[in-house]
Amino acid sequence: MKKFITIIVALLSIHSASAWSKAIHAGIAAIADANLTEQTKESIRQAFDGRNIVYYAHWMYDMADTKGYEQTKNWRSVAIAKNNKPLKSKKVASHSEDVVRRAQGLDALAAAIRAIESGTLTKEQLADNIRYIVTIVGDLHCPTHYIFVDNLPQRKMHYFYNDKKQSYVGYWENGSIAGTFPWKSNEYVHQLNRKSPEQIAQITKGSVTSWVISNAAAYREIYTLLKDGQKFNQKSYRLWQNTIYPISTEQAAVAGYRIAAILNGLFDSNVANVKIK
Amino acid sequence: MKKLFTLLLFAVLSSYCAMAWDNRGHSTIAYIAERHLTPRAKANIESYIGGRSIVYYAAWMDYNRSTPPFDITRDWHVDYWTDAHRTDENGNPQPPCSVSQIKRIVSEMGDFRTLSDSLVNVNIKFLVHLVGDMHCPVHIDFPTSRPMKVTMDKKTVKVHAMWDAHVLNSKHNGTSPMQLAEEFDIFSDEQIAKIQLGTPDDWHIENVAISEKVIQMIPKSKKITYDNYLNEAIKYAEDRITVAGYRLASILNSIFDK
Repeated sequence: MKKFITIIVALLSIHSASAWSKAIHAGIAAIADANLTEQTKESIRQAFDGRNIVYYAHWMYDMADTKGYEQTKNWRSVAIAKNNKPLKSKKVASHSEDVVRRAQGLDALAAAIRAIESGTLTKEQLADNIRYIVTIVGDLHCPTHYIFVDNLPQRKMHYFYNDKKQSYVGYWENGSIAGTFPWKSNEYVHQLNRKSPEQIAQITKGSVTSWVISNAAAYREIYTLLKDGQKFNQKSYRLWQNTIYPISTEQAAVAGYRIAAILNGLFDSNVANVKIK
Repeated sequence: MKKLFTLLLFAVLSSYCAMAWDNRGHSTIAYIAERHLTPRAKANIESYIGGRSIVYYAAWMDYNRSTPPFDITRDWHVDYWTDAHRTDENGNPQPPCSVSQIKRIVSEMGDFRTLSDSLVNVNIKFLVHLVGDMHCPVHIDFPTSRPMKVTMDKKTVKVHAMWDAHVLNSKHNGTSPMQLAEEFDIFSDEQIAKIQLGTPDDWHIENVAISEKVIQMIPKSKKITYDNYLNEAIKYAEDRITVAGYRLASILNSIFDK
């Protein structure tokens, strides 16, 4: 019985370690929502029967075990080659490692954008694709959602806090922000939605693929912030966390601005589309 | 033996100094303060802290108390119960405390534009935190209450730790600081002006009385329940947090609304 419970706990840990937490996704979506134009907001309200994107920020995860949505489990991360470019789709599909084969986030995002651009979707399909964009773009700004194929072992990096083994990837999913700030979604907006229009223009410049490439180069660095197996006590853990939260909060803000840029491009005729490549 | 004693003493001091209001408490104070900053003060402050809200830095002092050069701030979070006790039994000055640091910083910031940006930046972070700490009842350093422990939910904790987080969170765990600020910030302008009257020394005297009260309220059994302690203690915690927020706004406005 004890063994069974241990296995269940382990499985749950793996599942929950596979995404930004619900609160972070909601926070990112709230930043995006605050940067949507009125025209975009209205289109989304219609697609969502009055709801906003914050309500559905984590929906793709909630639906992952529902028939017809199982494939979304492969849309949460992106496989990255040694040169920091996204790995070609064929190489992703044929890779020997499951974690790489499942890293189809960029293709899924591109498909969702193209589907909306086509203008041929039913209301339900449109709503689904908006929700995919919100979640996937959020995930593509979580450093541990980048699967660096030339260094897969780093995904198993861990540390000990008060002698308890913890996953580094797992830490990024939630503790990287929640370990410092007890924020709800409106606080993400209040605290992080503070960039000037010029800064936002800079952040949202380029294509979706160029964002992934520049993120990849930056995100490689997070694996230098921890020595595998590093041991922390309360004091050293706090100091270490001080090196992480400025990065994670900044990425949450960037993700929010970029979601808004994509959605505004798709739904507001006065805003240019964000290109995929 | 001497080594063991030193280690034990260090352990006691470390656990004593390691806490303050938790992030939820400090952030709530900062949110309340932010709601009462004048537009000019708010703009001036944010220009020195990279465009961020003061709330972002509400617990910054706690997060950096072990990092040089800020390890010198380690003892700034608490205060002594009377001026007479700001020296030890041999007449040596105790480490600088929250009230003396607040007074020093306010004085130093009199003409903040003549100071370096980095000094103003760090002084804002200090004030945002220390005004909160000086209103936390257990941040008055009574030697009698310092080692006192209580039992809550079958766990034994120091009174200090109970007050830093457990009291507030016993009712408000899961509520965001922004929401707490909205719930607590319900006073009229006249009431707020009255709360803001006085100096940090006056506020300290008031807090000493409240500290004594919340210590006396602890049941003799030291077993804390909602009925015998928390329901009443929560009111004090909410009051102290709200009052601290208004007074922080008052201090920051006095410095930066010019």
